[in-house]
Amino acid sequence: MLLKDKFFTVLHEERITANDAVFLCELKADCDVYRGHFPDKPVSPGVCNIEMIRECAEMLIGQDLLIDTIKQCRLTAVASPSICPKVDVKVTVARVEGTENYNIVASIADALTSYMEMKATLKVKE
Amino acid sequence: MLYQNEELFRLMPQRAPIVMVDKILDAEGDTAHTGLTVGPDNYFIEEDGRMAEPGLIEHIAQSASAFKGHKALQAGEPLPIGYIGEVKKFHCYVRPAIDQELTTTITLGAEVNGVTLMTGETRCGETLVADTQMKIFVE
Amino acid sequence: MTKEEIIEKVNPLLAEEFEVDESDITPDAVIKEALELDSLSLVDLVAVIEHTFKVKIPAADLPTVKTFADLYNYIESHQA
Repeated sequence: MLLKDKFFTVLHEERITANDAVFLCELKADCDVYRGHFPDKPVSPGVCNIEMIRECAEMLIGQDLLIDTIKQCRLTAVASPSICPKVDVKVTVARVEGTENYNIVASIADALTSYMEMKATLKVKE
Repeated sequence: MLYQNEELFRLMPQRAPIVMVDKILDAEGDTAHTGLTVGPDNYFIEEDGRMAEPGLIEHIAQSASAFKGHKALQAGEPLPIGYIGEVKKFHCYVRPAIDQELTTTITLGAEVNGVTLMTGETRCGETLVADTQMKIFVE
Repeated sequence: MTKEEIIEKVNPLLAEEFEVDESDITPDAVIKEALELDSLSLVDLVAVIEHTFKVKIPAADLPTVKTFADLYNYIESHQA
């Protein structure tokens, strides 16, 4: 995985059902991405949060997944390791009937703030 | 070619290791063409040598950011710092490989209270790589 | 375009774009509430109107467009 244990680490994993889990993740302040995003102003890149969701979905399903489409992804607040050192990444998956694809609904939030909501279709990597 | 490599740093705040656009080919009105050569050290290259899809989203977002920076520079305005507010109808058709040349068309649309609607379409040669709608939020 | 034609055209488009029931779109309803608009999605409304009717609603005019009736009037009086 591209960003696991580099941009984030999973502190705790709560499986609600086989299709539904919450990953408590720590955003790592020492990740090299903050050298450039932005110099002197560390902000977690929205696309890294999207990648974090993908990697959590891979852990939930236990297969490598590609992002086929993102129907909608709203970035509702600025995130960074100092603003939100720990976040809940909530992922719900549903198999798209007759295909190898999964529809996923995911969110990144802490107790006070929602940072991201995403609806996407992921496909199993061959 | 309007800008390439470090010249783009005049237009956008992102720096290594997450610079995902390396040229603006042309810009006219609300449309610009940008490019990226996918280097082996690109931040989003996966173990199989292909770029992860979020890298394409970042490429399109930074292309728009640099284009807006170019417009600000032309107008003598301060450089805007833009964040992605929303990604909508993103579709990845193929993940680019190392050494491939990406070319992207950015079209800016309506703007309300610092939120700009835009579309981006990325190709490698004639092959469609990804397309998306996006909202860029400027602080 | 007459106001009736505008209403007939714009209501289904808004219902589709904002995923609401067309029956929620009534002349007296407040747009922001009916379409659940926030700071991010306001621009989608402006874009739909601009794309469909070639009518640009500048940010300065937005506070005057509160209800759907206001919107229909705005489009009617600003169309080319």
